[in-house]
Amino acid sequence: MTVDDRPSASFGDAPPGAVDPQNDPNFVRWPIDLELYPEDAIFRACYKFTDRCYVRLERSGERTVMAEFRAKDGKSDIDAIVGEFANELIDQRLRMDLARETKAVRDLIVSQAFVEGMLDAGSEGDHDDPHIE
Amino acid sequence: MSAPAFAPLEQFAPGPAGTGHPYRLLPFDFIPLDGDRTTGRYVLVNAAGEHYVAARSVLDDLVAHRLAPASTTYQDLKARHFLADSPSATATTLLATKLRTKYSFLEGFTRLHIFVVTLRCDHSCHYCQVSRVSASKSRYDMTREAADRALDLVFRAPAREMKIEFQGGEPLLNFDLIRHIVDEVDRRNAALPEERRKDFQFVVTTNLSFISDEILDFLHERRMYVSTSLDGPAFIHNANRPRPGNDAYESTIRGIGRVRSALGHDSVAALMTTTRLSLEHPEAIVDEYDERGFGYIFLRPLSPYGFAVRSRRKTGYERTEFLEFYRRALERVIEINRNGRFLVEVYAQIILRKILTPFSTGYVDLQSPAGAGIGAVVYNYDGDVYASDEARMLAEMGDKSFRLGNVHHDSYGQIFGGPVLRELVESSCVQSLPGCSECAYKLFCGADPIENHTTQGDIVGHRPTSDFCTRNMGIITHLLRLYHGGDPFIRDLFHAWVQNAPPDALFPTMPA
Repeated sequence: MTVDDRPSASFGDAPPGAVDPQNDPNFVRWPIDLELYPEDAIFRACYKFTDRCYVRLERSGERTVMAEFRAKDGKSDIDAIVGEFANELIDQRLRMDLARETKAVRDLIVSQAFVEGMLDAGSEGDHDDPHIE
Repeated sequence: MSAPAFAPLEQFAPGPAGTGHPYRLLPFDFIPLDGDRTTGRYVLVNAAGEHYVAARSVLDDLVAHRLAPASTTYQDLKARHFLADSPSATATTLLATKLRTKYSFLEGFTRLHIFVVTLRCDHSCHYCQVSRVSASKSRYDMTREAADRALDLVFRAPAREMKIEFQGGEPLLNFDLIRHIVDEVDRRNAALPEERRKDFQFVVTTNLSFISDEILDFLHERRMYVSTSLDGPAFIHNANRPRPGNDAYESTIRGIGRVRSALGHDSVAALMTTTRLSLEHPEAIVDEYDERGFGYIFLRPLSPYGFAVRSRRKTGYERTEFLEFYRRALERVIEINRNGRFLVEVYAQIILRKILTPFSTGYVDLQSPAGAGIGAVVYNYDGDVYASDEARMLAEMGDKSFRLGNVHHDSYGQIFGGPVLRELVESSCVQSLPGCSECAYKLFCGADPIENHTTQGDIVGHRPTSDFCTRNMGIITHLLRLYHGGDPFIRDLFHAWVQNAPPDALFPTMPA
């Protein structure tokens, strides 16, 4: 999934109506630099806030994504949410760097583990059922 | 799937291009443990579930290849397989072996087979997870024909070590069928060639109201176990589990005594369910288990099924309330251990085994892929087969989404190889679930697609609002904070729980 594919991707229930960010204490709009944060990191970070917020993402430039957060219950501290989201973006970026660097080794470990596991399983039990392909 | 012929090129490289640092990272995930971003600690968990607690600066330095090889941290992380600095494949081979060990539960396909021999029951528990009916309506009993057909499926399961559990309703109201099933299992097993025989263990889950000398003799003769409910002291147990005479507690305590006398002290297990009333009395509930000589307590939340849903106002609570209850109860358990009596909290024991050992636990309610169908299966009184007890409860509420088939009409392949079970397995692998895939706790946790379906209307589920996720994340974090909290007694106690044995050094006055 990419932001290009989904020009106005949103999580959770749709945010109600149009909003005026100048006057709404439960709403914030924030541009995110795609050179700093890959799209996957942005989506994963947003997902974590979908309990407290309606989140909407929209391409706002060649290298920018606009994130909109609206607090669901009207009581959440939107400033605190933005702060948490900023930190979460950094953690998700770090996770992606780590995953990219270790992907080949992770794949090797998993395939080595389960190839041998399948051999260890032996032929116990009844596998000749015609309904099992 | 075939084994790769060569290790990937990255395994032989010293580090990312251009860094020049003499180590390479091995796969791991991380999550905050406590404190804030700058002063707090993080839990790092590698590909095989080994963990390491470190400051944020260590995490950043590790990932940026800035750790000094001479430092203790570097050596610790190398020893625990978070980094490697030689082209040897030893680290990856060890991680693969440990990962395979963690998933060894997959080899014994469907070990637990639950027979709902009747829905009849004399209790009217507020949180009962199945529809209760009067004890006189025998149309809710399983027939011998259905039981025999279910046994055909039991004997086709690949697992060699099997457990058959009798549930209800109150299963002792259909004791003749229990006797028939046990006899039939023994007869069929004895007729198999020796190399294909299975090891069977039998458990009766009962409220003990109908226990008799005749039943006890049979249970003793067949070395069967008994599991019962004990929700706490009388005022909690009787409030949760009404029956005529309002004496469920007294009846249960009498029954536990009779079973212990006839079958041995450890032949009867007890489980508690946390209701709204329980929330205010964690210490009293723990004390009840301690005083009754159980040696353990299993702190279980209310399930979102059956009457637990219908009577939610009376018995239900918020997910954060259960976590507070759990923390207080666990504190009492630890206090009792400090006073010299070995008492295990079973859920903590299960999670600590996942955290502190490479072994799988066999606990089907907290695994990935979920234990539904592949770890346990339920044969309902009417012959319907369900992926789990929860799936059966859901069916009693009118939703048969997780009915795998019927013993009268469907083959083993249709039931265990059909689309329902395949979807359950595919939708419960934490490595691919949103919110779980990057979670550092995924090897300590599990997935519950049936609870997701029940509470969120979606088998994959939405982690940020999931009770299952909040509860398990909260408990795992709490256990890790305790383990790394600087109290050597708690650290030793947790290792003793993992071993299920009280070490002399901690409990010098306990008899061996």
